[in-house]
Amino acid sequence: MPTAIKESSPPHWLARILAVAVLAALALYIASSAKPSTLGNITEACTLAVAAVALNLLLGFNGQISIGHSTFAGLAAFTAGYSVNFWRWNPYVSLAVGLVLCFVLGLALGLPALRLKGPYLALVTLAVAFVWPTIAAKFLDKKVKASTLKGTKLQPPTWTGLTNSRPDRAVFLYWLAVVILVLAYVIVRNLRKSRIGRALVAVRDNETAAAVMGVNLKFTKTVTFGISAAIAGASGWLTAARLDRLDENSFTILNSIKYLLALFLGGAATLAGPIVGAFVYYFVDDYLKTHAPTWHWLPGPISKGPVASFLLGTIVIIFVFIAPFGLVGFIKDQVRRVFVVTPRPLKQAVASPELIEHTSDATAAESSAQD
Amino acid sequence: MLDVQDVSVRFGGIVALDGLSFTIDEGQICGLIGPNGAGKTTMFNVISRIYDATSGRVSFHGKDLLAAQAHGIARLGIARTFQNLALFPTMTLLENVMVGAHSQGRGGFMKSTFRIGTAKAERDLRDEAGDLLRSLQLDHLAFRPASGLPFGTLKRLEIARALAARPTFLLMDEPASGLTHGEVDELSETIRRVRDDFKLSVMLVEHHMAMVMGISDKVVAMEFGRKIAEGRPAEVQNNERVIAAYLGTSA
Repeated sequence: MPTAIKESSPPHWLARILAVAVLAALALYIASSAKPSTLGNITEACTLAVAAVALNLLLGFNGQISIGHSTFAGLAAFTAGYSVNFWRWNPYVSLAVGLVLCFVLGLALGLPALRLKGPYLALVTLAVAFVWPTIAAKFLDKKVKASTLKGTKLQPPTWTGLTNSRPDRAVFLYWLAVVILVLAYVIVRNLRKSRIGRALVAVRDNETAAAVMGVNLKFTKTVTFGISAAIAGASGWLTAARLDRLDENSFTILNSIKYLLALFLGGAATLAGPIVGAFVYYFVDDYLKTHAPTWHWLPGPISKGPVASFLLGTIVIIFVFIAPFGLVGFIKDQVRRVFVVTPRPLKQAVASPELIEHTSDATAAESSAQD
Repeated sequence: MLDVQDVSVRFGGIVALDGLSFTIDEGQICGLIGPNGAGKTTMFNVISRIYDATSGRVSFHGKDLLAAQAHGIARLGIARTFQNLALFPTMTLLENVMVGAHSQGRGGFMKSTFRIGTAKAERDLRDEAGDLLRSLQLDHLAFRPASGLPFGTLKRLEIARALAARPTFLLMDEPASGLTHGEVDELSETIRRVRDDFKLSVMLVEHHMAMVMGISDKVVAMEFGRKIAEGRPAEVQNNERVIAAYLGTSA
């Protein structure tokens, strides 16, 4: 029998505080001791995680698929690169404006989503992701494409005590990515645990019933699309902050697929899933890229790159069989064998006393049998 | 209270409802009967604004119901249950009922994202949802997901969820289908009880004749999208056209 912990009881709070403390300590430890290159890797994983969190809100909780999220990341990245380099904007203002643009484009893409479901919506968003690099290539000249927040465009503020040297800058970008990831997580978590979050899941589970309950489908679905797009935009801005140059191939459909993989690897519709998935995906991919062998046993030896892709794909497939609800779903199942959190008991609401007399004997008998 | 006037619904060439008119008074339980395909569920879907009427008028407490959108009827005080269950299977029973109260809540995207002043409303809502589960003898299952529970239990959950919207008018689409004998008797009792406790008017579509005739104050009989009889259960039961519709006429 697993040990039961009451929700919001002291042990439950202790466990939660401990978890946050361990994560914070880990983040601090990494910042102080990791090499700049490792920090760069973690920053990149965080960037991927932000996009996966964005997709989780849309696909995991609201049931709307998007293969076009790379476009939002690209839009925010180019907005930042252009406005900072050519209009001398403050980089943080460029972030805010990029998020607003992504939100608006997200709303616009949410409109066809009202009529389309599943594979059809996937096709529309796929088309957007497909068209984006072409548009980027056509409208942006070389100078623009190469402009990011590199060098002196985005410097650590003086209160951080960091300079713009390479190691310090890596630390700074790492913290930026961590903070944005935490914010994205908190936003999605708050939404999920609210009236709106229940409405999102209700729409995913049964649209007609949700509408009858009073959920405005058009509004809910388009705004969710917008918020998700804006969060994906934050991921794009981080990319612009980290890289020395961007071009039309920086945000292709492959990026969108990566977000999807990270999400399902970690567990869609779980709060931590996209983050865990993004880190696992990123580091497994990174490891395979450097350590994959060249296969000589096949005619015309297959080089490292394709072998790495093949191995990664195989791992993902095997994984989907072992843990269909993602890593987080798998871990939750294991933890549940040891600890269960029992929800707070339901209090009698004072608002409707007429109900109390109807609490039948049958219920009392049933619940005591449960105990 | 509810006034349906000359409502027709056409899907392409098919006439699902053909000039249907009837009224329901405050506090009444009205049974809507008729053979399969008579248009009962279509009528339900027109009232709950899932379908548009091709012509005709529906007014609810004097307001034009057909001008409302599907998500607007809950706020007007209309709630419904579904023929083949339309629950939110991944959510717990408690959450299902809490979604039922969506029209009663405030707190949009902004407030929810930043969690401003939502805590108390959430707590109260949770307790009220708990009360509803208790009143339908479902509270011991509050934290179970809705999927995988017995059909009868889920039917009761649909009633609890509908009641969470604090309706004045409850539409029930075949509440007795798939229930055992004992469950049907219990259900009749439940419907009468919630009508009295929550001061509701109820309209139900039902094939279980004993049940409809037993609990309805008034019965409307339909065939091929038209009304063939309206009145007290005993009157409708003995109406020749109703008998013919159900049993067929001798040649």
